[in-house]
Amino acid sequence: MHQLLERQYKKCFKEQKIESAEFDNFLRVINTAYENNDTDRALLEHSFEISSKEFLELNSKILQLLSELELEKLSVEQKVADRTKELKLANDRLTELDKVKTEFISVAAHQLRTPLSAVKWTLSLLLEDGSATMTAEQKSLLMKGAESNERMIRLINSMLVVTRIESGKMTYVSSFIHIEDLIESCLSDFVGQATEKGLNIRFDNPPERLPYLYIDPDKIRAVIQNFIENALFYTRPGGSIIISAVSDHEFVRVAVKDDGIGIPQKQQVGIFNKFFRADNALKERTDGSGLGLFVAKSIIEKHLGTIGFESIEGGGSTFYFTLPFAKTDASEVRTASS
Amino acid sequence: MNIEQKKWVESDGWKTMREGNFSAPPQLVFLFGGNSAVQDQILFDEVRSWYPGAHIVSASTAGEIAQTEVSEDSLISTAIYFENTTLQFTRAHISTAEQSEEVGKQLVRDLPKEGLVHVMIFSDGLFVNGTPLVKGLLSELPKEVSVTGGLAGDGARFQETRVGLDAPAETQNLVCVGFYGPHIKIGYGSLGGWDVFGVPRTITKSNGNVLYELDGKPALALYKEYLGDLAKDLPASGLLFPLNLQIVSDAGVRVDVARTILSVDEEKQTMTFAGDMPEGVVAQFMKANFDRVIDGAAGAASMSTEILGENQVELALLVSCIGRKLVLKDRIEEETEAVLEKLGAQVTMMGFYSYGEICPTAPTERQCQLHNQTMTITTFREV
Repeated sequence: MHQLLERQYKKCFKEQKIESAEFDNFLRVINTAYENNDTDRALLEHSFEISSKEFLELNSKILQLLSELELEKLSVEQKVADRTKELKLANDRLTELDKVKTEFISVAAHQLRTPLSAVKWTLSLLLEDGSATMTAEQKSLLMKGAESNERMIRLINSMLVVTRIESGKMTYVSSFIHIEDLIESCLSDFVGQATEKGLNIRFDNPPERLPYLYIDPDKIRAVIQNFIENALFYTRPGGSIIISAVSDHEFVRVAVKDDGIGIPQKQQVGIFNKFFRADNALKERTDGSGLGLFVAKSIIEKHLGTIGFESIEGGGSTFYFTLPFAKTDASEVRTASS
Repeated sequence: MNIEQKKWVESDGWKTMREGNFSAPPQLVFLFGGNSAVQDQILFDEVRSWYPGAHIVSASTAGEIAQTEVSEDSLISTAIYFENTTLQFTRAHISTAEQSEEVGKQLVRDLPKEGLVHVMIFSDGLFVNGTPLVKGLLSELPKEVSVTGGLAGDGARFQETRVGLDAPAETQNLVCVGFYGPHIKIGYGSLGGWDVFGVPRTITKSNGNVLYELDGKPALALYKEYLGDLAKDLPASGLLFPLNLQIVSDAGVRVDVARTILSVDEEKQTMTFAGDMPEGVVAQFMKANFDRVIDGAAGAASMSTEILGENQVELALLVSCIGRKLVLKDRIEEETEAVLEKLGAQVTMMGFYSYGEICPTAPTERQCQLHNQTMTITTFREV
């Protein structure tokens, strides 16, 4: 009989022996239940003991892995720190070299501009005063020389602008301006050239005055000129160039739209990079510097505006920029300017 | 539907548990019993003499169920007369577990499909891999036909299991019953109630339903370590620690499936389970919590009445896992009592303790699965 059952029996019945087959059977059933219970408990205790040992082993493995990971992490962090230090040194060196390069270009450009201006002056004198005594061939050679000299001066001027932008030495003199006036003024410089090339150029002046902008007019004029020059170069005779200016929320949006050669899709990514020239643009025009749009982007962003374009190869391009309204309202500006 | 239930035990012979009031001869008799009883020609002839026109489907068990009584080495005969339902039967023989899928296909291929509502499968419990068997069955059946059933048992001996159709039960046999017509309503439910415990392990070596290694170590050695003194009682004692497998269903959903051991091979250090043990799957030991196991049976009963309605079930076939019986021991009838409480006093309950249960995972689903360690209930009502 199960030890516990025996004790319970004695507690209840002392030494009394109960003579009953039913009672004996009842005791047998109870005894089996007690024994089953013991077996179950022993099995569970045994299995939980093994299981908890396995968990401890697993835990110890995890701790070991964590410790290895921690060491690995420290090693990686050290490597990252070393590499960052090396990169910083390399970056400092590059910045230094870039500064030297910019200074060199600035000095060289200044040094070149003086003799080139002298050459320009000499050639124009020769063409003005001596053209009567020259042969047609001599005159043609002199004119080609003058054009090349002019192109060289333009390139050097552009490079000087770029060096000023990159060195942060570009100065901006802002005033309150109506952009429509600036566009009208720019346009008048190009009407003759457009007519000569057989192009239709117009400005869709908005019916109502646009809000004032507080901008450097010379710099923004240079951007508009760059857009119009490009449109003139890359639009075939018979084509048209339309300039527009509209108010768009807190900004004015100026766009120059042409129906020229457009820009291939694959080459549109780097268009605002320095010295960028699209393949089809190179075929049309060999004397471009590839600096104009880079300069334009820098100027517009300095004015807290945005610049962009939409173009389809063979279907024309639209270059645009936006500039924020002046913070002061128009009446104050009028009072201030009067 | 009209039902008569009789029980035979060696000491007392036959006893009628529920008297039938048949207006016409019953068409179907289920005979569930101990291994020696189901193969006994005299006992079979006796049953045949009472129901000469009926098809007799028999299976050996690891315990017979008649109402809430659970007995061993008895024979339970349940004769059913269906008023408006027709039945079809098929039988197949299997030689090795590798044939399981093909045998499954063959069994249902011969069943007429028109009007087919439900299929019950009774299979040998040791020569069959339940996973491909179910796959084979489903591949040949229309999607709207549901399947339930189970694998025959052999007490806790795991030596030979028997299934029969219109003859004393034989080993390596499988039988299908097809239920036809709009008047038969069938519900089903299956639940376990076991808890996982211990560290999760990965099946690193297996072949079909034969398990070699867990986490790169022999699985049999691990079982023996956990069982301690009870290792001598393998494979039966292995049922105390079934494995929970985290498998991914065909629909891409993670499903937890319990697997129980059928046999061990000491020489090869392998263990054969009732269903597939795929490599790479995470497996974890399970243990029984008495209350949750009994609640599981009640839950399965509730599921099985979802379609038929409460107190509407006329007949219930219970297929419960031998693992539950080994764990619950003297308390085993608590689970059949829990089922009866849910189904209502009007029901006639029959069934057996098996080596594997087959049933969809939800009452609204048709796609069945092989289960282990569950109480699986199929309920019937004619309208």
